[in-house]
Formats: sequence, structure tokens, C-alpha cells
Amino acid sequence: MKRLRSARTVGITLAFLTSIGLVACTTMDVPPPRAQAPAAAQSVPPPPAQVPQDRTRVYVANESSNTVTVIDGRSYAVVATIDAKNYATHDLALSRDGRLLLATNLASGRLSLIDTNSLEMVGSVYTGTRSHVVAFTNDDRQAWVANIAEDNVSILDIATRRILGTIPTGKGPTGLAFSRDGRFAYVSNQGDKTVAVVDTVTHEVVRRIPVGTNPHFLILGPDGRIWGCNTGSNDIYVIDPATQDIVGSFQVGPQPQQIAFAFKGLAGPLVYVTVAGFNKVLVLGGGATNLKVLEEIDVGDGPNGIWANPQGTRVFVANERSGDVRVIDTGTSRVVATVKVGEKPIRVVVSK
Amino acid sequence: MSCHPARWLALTLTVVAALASPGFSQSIVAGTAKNANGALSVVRADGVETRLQGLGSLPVFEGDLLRVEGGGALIETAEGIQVALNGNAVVKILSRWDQGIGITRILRVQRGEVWARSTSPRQPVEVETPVGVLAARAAEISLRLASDDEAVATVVSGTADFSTPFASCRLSTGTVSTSYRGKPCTAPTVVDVRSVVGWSHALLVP
Repeated sequence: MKRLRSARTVGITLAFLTSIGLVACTTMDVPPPRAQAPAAAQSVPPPPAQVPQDRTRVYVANESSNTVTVIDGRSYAVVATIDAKNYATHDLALSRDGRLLLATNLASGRLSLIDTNSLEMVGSVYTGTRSHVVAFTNDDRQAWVANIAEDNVSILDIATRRILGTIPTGKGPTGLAFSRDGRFAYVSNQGDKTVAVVDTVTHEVVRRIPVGTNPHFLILGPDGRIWGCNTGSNDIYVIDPATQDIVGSFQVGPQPQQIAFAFKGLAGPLVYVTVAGFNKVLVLGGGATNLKVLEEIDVGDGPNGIWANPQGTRVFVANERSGDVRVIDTGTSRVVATVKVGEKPIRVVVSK
Repeated sequence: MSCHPARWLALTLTVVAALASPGFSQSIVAGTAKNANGALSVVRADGVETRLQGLGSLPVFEGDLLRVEGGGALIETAEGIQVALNGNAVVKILSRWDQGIGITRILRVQRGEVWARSTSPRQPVEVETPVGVLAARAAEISLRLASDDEAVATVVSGTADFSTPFASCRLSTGTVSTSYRGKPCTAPTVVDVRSVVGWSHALLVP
């Protein structure tokens, strides 16, 4: 009996050693773990608090590469290039905490969900044919996606990643923004030449505001108004949610694409508009009702996406034909860096 | 000691993982249409149409639009979920991919009624409408789109979540809930499911 028991013990030991050997074999390229610090080290007081580092990141959607380029907001170095694992990556939206990045993919009709910590695509959700633009609701619990070819907006639940429903908005929805209080969503419709005002409580279109030709991009401005571009009629316009009317418009030149807001020293917030037909960024001042050109800044070929850093001192411009991002120092209005990105960069967002 | 087998194993696993990563195109088989009482018209993502009448075995692909012309139709998804479409149903075959979870089969209802039976927790299925989504595993469910502004969800057996943009309702065996545009789902109430499932069970292939 004793012999049997000892034979079993030897067998178990051998099996154990063999399994260790196998593990060691499969992991032999991994360096051995560092020696554990002695338990006493845990009682050492933590180092003094350091000044928080600026971890601003810039994300760029590259439509022809089907990727998202990640750029460090201070060094302008490319941190990563993320495969969206879909086709024609077009628009981006970043959650307020910066952890979840959403990317529309025009050709796939799908939304790529990207974990900004692991820098990889972690989910792919079909929203609709020609999914174009995406925006988080103000509470970050949903994302709305405009599907050009289905004339509607899909509502994604962020927690479950389920499509909760759709809202018909108008013909060819291409722009999307929420009011400051989240009570209304604004959807520009290329086919109708309108902006539909959607009541976010009833999910009904409560007003259609006529705008110009080929209305496209929409964004909530720092003044609480909705700013938009008519890419076909070469102007920008401003909608006041208080009245749901246009309170200002301004001719900026051929093919205005997108709008950002930033400061030049004491002046601002100023309006920065990418004007693709001029290969320039126009800087406008005077407020929504009295817009005027203050400066014109030469950028790359085909400026489209534009976004400012949270401090409003740098503006990042994606040039879809030259395939780069130009960084503008708003204090001097000079391009201080050029970052090569993917093919046909369309959209830029910067972490808050 | 040679570690080549382990390296080969690692390489093989890497290749398998790469192949298993999401790729969404019209060439991915999503299931098979097995029965059409009347006719089932299948519109591929590139616009090409094909039809099934009576019993058969017609592959359906990711992104296909299924349109029933009278009677009803039965399909079985690649995951083994049975799906019945009623006489005027129009449904798009979709999926979602989640890291760590994999594929969830999605049926987007544009018109009519869909019944689905998942027999395993490994067969997640979701039925989408413009005003709510019914999600289930190992359950028998039905969703009827009464209009673009109203959907009626029924659980025949098991449990399912009926989620709208405003609320989520947990449904259990023999209960029904309705979603109206701009409103939360109604509280589940008991229903006689025999009337709900009679038409779908009649389509099942013996």
C-alpha cells in the first residue's frame, strides 16, 4: 500500500514537472518575472504627487486606408494606427472620458467601436447603408448614427451595443449634432437642403430649417448654437436652438468642410473653417451675427477635418489629398507640424 | 530541448485567430432558407435577386434582404437559430461582432412579423425594429412590427430583453410588451402564446 502511494506520488510529481516543462517551453522567449520586492517595501510611502501629464490624443479617420491614426497631442508623434476592420472609415466620435472611440464606415454601413486603451477595434455594429456621421448623446449612453442611404438615424445603446431604433430624418442625412441641453438633435439632409430638428424626448422631427446646397457638417459651438457648412453653396450658417432659426451665415469660399473653435491670445473663441477649394483654413471673428474673415492660413491639399485641442491653442487639420495633418499654433497662425497619416484623412477628433 | 512544436502551435493559433477576426461582407453565409409557403424573395447586397418556393436549401448571406410574398418562410441561421417570417415580412440579415463574445445574429424587421427559436445560450439573437430591439438566448420569441412607430414583443419560452431608446423590459415565458415611438416599452403582461406561434410552427420542416 505504501509502495503504491509512493508510486502515485512520483507519478503526480512527474506529471507536474512535465507540465511545467511544457509551459516553460511555450513561453521560453518571455523574460523571467522580476524578483518580487520584499514585503517590507510596501510600507514605503508613495512618491510625491507629480504634475499631471497632458495626455491629449488626436484621432484621425483615414477613409481610403480604413484606419484611425492616433497622434500624441503634445509631441505630434504617431502613437498607433488602428485597423477599423471595416471599409471607408469616415467619421469619429469620442466619449467624454476618452475611453471609447466610435468610427463610421461608409462602405460597410458599420460602426467600429475602438478601445482607446488597448488601441484596437473591440466591436462592429451594423447601423445602416452608407453610415456617415456619428455623435454621442450628451450623457454618453447612446450614439446616434446618420445613414445617408436610408434617410434615417440609428440609435446605438453604448452599454449593450444594440441598435435600439431608428428615426426618419430626411433625405441623405450627413451632419449630426446635439444642443447643449441635449433636448434637440440637429440633422443636416443633403437631399432636402434642410436641417431637421429632432426632439430627443419624442423622437419626432419638430422643425425643418431650410439651408443651402449640400449641407454637410454640423457642430455645437461654444456659444450654444449649431454651426453648419453648406459645402455646395460655399457658406456656413448658425442656428440658434432658442428660436430654431438661422441667426447668421457667411460666404467662406469653395467647398467649406468642417468647423472648429479656438483662441488667438485674448481673442476668441474664433471660428476656424476648412475651405477645401482654397486649401486654406479661414479664421472668422465677430460672432455668429457679424462674421468676418480675420486670417487665412495655408494648409495642405484638400483640408477637411478640423478640431482644436481643449485649451484652444492648437488646431489640427486633416488634408484628404495630401494625406497629412497640419498642426496650427493659433497664437501665431503658423503651421508648426505636419504629421503623415493614412490615405484620405477625413475627420479629426481630439480628446477633451 | 526543441520548442518548434510549441512555436508551430502558437503560429497556427495566431493564424486561426486572424481568420476568426471580424470581416463583414456579402460573401459570409448567414444561414439557409428551408421552406417558403408562397415565395421567399432574397435580395443580395449587390441587388441580385433569387427566390425559394416550397421546401429547399437556399443559402442566405450577411446583408441579404428577405421578402416574403404570401404564406411565410423558414430559415435556419448558421448558428442554428430557427427563424420564421410571416406573410408580408421584410427582414434584413445582419450581425454584430464583439470582442470576447463573437457574432450575434441580428434580424432587422422592416415589415411584418418574425419568430425565432434559439436552443442554446451560445445562440444569441436580436430582432431589431425602428422602435425597439428584442434580445434573447435559449428562448423562443416573436416580434411584430405593427407600424414604423409600434412594435409588439412576445416571449413564448425563456426570457428576453426588450429595449427601446427610453427603457428596457425583461420579458419571461408567456408575456408581451409593446413599444411606441417616443415612449418606454409597456410593462409585460400575460398573453396566450398559442395564437402567436401557431403560424410559425406550421412552417417548421419535419
